[in-house]
Amino acid sequence: MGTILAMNLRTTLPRIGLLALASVLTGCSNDPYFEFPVQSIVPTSLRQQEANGEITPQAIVQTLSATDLPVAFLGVPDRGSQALLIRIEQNGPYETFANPDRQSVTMRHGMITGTRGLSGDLMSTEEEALLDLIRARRAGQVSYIQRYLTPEDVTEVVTYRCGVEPDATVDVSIGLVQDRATEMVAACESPDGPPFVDYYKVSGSGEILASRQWLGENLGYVAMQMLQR
Amino acid sequence: MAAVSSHRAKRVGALATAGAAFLLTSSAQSETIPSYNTYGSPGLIDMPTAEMAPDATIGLTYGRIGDSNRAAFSFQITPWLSGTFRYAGIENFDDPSSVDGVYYDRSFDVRVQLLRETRLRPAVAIGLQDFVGTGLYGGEYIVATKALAPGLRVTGGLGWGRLGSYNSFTTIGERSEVILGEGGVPTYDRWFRGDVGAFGGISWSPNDKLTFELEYSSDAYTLESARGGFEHKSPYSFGAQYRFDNDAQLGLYYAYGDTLGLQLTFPTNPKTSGIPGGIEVAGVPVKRRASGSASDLGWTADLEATERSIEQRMTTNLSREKLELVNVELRPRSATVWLRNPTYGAPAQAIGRTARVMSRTLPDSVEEFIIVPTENGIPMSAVTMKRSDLEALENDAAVEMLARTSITDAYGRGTPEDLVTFPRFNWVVAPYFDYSGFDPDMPLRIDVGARVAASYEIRRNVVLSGELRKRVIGNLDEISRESESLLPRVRTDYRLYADEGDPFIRYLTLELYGRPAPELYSRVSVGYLERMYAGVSGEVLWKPADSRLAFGAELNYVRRRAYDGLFGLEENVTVDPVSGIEREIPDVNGHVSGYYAFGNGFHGQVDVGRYLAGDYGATFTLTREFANGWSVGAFATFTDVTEEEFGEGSFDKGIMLTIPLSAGTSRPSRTLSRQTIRSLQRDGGARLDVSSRLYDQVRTWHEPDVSNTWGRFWR
Repeated sequence: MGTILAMNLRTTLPRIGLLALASVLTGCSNDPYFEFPVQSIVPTSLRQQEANGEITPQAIVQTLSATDLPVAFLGVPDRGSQALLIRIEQNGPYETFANPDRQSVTMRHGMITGTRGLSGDLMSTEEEALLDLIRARRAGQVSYIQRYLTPEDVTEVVTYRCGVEPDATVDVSIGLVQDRATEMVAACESPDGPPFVDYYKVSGSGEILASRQWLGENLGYVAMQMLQR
Repeated sequence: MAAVSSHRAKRVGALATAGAAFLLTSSAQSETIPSYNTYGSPGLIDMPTAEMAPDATIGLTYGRIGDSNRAAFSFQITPWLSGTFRYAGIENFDDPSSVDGVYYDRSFDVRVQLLRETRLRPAVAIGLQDFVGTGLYGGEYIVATKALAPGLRVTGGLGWGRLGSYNSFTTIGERSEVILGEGGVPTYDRWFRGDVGAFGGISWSPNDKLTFELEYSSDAYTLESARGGFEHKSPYSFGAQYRFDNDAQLGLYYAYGDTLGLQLTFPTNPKTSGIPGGIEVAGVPVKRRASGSASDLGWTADLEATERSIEQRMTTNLSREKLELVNVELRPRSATVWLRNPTYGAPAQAIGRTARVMSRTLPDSVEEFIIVPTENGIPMSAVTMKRSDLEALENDAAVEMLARTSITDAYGRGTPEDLVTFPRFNWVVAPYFDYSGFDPDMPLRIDVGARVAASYEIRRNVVLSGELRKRVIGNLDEISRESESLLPRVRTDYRLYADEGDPFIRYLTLELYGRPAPELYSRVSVGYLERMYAGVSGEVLWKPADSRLAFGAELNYVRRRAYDGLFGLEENVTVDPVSGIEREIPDVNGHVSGYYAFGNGFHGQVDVGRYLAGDYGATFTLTREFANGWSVGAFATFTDVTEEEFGEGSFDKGIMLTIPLSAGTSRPSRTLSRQTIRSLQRDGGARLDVSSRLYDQVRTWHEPDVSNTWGRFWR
C-alpha cells in the first residue's frame, strides 16, 4: 500500500507541477473576458478560421428542407471557402443572411451591400443608382460607392464610376430557384481602387438570383447564388 | 545623447507583446518602404538619403559594420518628419567608460523633408544626426535624392560634423567641442558649423526584392580609428539588400574597403498592419419595428414584469456580444442601459453592438436609447440615439448615425442598482516579463516569471486589487552598477528592489471612484501604489463629454516601500551609496495636468507640479495616436533641478510606444501593451507611477474618442 501510494505521489506530484506550469504559461483566470497576450504570439494566419470547405449538395438539400426562409450560397474563391446563409433579418429592402458561425451578408434585391465577420468586411455601399439600372436591365453610367475599414479603423470610401450593360438572357436553375434571367455586366473604375467587373443574373421581377460581385481587395470576387427565395 | 550610461534605464512594467506584434503584423504596404541604412534611418549604407518612409512607419533596425553595433527605433512622425532613437555599442573602443572594451552610446536623430520628389525635382531633406548629448555620431546634412530611371536612385548631399570629416572642401564657422550640461541637451552650438564634406551614392533595384547600393561616405570615422581597431581604407562602400514578403530588409555590405556589415530592418505600420475590420463575428442586425407598432403601450401595464424579462434577455444577448449589462431602466418611450465593456478596444463598437441588441429586445414604443458606459462602476457618458435612426441608417455610411447621436455628461445618471451582485472576485495567473535596458554591464536584462493578480470589487466603485510576482528565470537581480545621486534616491535605488524583491507585491490598493459634480471625476487610491512607494493618491479630473480639453489634479502622500517588495515600509530617507549623504524624500508630491486632443491623431499633455524628489517642474508629452489603439509619443521633464544635480542626461526624457493586443490577434481587445523607453532613469523629474489614473478611462467614452472609432459602430 505504502509503496503504491509513494509511487502515486511520485507520478502525481510532477503531473501537478506540469499542470501548474502549463496553466502559468498559458494563463488562466476566472474572468470569462480574460485574454492572454501569448495568443498574439501565434500568428493570426495560423489561427484564422479554416476555409469552410465545399458545400455538398446534401448540405444544400438538408438546409432547404429545414427552412422556408430565403437561403443563399456564398463562395469566396480567393479563400477557398463557401457558406450557406439563411435570412435572419429584414430591414426595409435590406435582407441580412447569416450562418451559425455568425458571419453575415446583407443584400438588397440580391446585391451585396455589406458583410460582417468575414474579415476585411465591406461595411456599406451607395448602391441605389447601380441597383436601379441592374434591376431594370438597362444600360447606363452610374456612380457607386463602397466603404471599408482600414487596419487603422478609419473608414475608407472608394467611389467608382460604373458602366452597366445587359448581356444574354439565360435560364437559371439553382436550388429551388428556377427562372429566366438577364445577365447584367457592370464594369467599374475608380481612382482610389482597382477596377472590377461584376456579373448579375436578374429575374423578370428585378431580383438578382446570382452574381459575381467585387467586395474589395481583402475578399476579392464573391459568388452568390440564391437557392430559395 | 548621453555617452555611456552608468545607470540602467527605468525598467518598464507590464507585459510586452510588443516584439511579437512587430514581427507578426507587417503586411503589404501600399507605398514603398525605402531602404534603411545601418543607422536605422532611410538611407544607403552609413549615409542618409532624402527619402521618407510611408506615414506612421515604425522601423526596428539592427545594423552592424565592423565593430559597430547599432539598434534603432525609427518613427515616421508625419509624412515629412521622422525621428530615430538608437543604441550603439562599439567594440574594441578605448575609453574609460567602455565595459569590456565596448563603448555604449544612445543617440537621437530627426529628419525633415523640405521638398517632395516630383518628375523633375529631387526630394530634399535636412537632418540632425545624434543631435542631443555628447554627439558621438553627431552630424548634420542636407541631402537630395532623385529617381533617374525605374529602380535607379541617386543621392547627393552635404554634411557637417561627422558627415563633414572626410575630404571636406570648405569650413563654415566654428564647431564647438564642449558638451552642454551633463549631456542629454540639444547640441545647438554645433549644428551646421565647421568642416563641410560631400557624400552621395546610387541604389539600383532590378526588381521588388533586390537592391544594390554604392555609397561615397564623407565620414572619416576619426573616433573609431583613433580609439578602436578601425581602418578607413576607402570612402566607398557597397552592398546588396534583400526585401522579404513582409517588407523586412536584410542588407549585406562591404564597407570602407576593409570590413563587412549587415543591416536587418523590420518595418511595421499602425495604419496598414493587421486585418482590416478584424476577424470577430458579426453583431446582430437591427430589428426594424413594424409600422404603427411604436404606439403600442400595452406592455406598460405591467412595467416591472416586462423590465425583469427584458433584463434577462438583454443580459443573455449582450453576453453573446461579450458585453455586460449593468442595469436597464425602462420608460414607456425611453430606455437606459448601463454597460460594462470588457471586450472592445473601439468604444463605438461596444456602443453599436449594444444599440442593436436594444433594438431587438425593447418594446416597440421605446424610441429613445440611452447607453451609459461605466468604468469601475462610474458612469462615463450618456450616449443617446433614436431607435428610428438606427433602423433607417443601418446600411448607410457610419457617419450618418454619428451625426444623429449625442454624447453627454452622465453625471447624476448613475444606475440605482446593479444586476450583478457584489462583492465580485476576479483572479488571473499568467506569465510576465520585465526588463531593464541600457546598462553597459549588460545592455538588456530580462526577468520571466509568474504573476497572480486579483481584484475584489466590494461595491461597484470600490475595488481592492493586487498583483504578486515571482521570478522564474532572469537576471534583473544582477544589476551591480552604483552611481552617486545628488538628489534623494527616489528611483536610482531600483537595483535594490530588483535584487531583493522575489517574490514581490507589485501593487496592492484599495480604490474608490466617484463623480463629485458634473464634468468631474474622482479617484482615491490607498495602499501599495507601485513597486517603490506606498501611500495615498487622490485625483480629480474635469472633462466635459464633448471636449478635447481636460484638466486634472493629483495629490499623493507617499512612504518608501521596503526593498523586498512585501508589506514593509521604510522612512522617506535614502542614503547615497557613493557619498554616504542622507537625503529626505518629501511626503507629498502631486501635479496639475492639462490634456488636449489636437485632432488628426495628435495628443498633448502637460503636467506641472512637484515630483518625487521634491523638485518642481513640468512634463511635456506629445503623442500620435491611432484609432486602433497604437500610439507613439515622446516626453521631456524640466524641473528646478540643475543639470549638475540631475546628473547624466541633464533632464528626464523618453519615448513611449503602445501596441494594442488586437494588433496581434485581429480580435477586439482592450488590452494595451505600453512601453516607456527612457535613455536613463535618474532621480530628477520622477513621477509616482499610479496605474489607475482617470484620464484614459474617462476619455474613452467621450465624444472625441468615440467619434474617432465610429467606423466600427456597425462592425
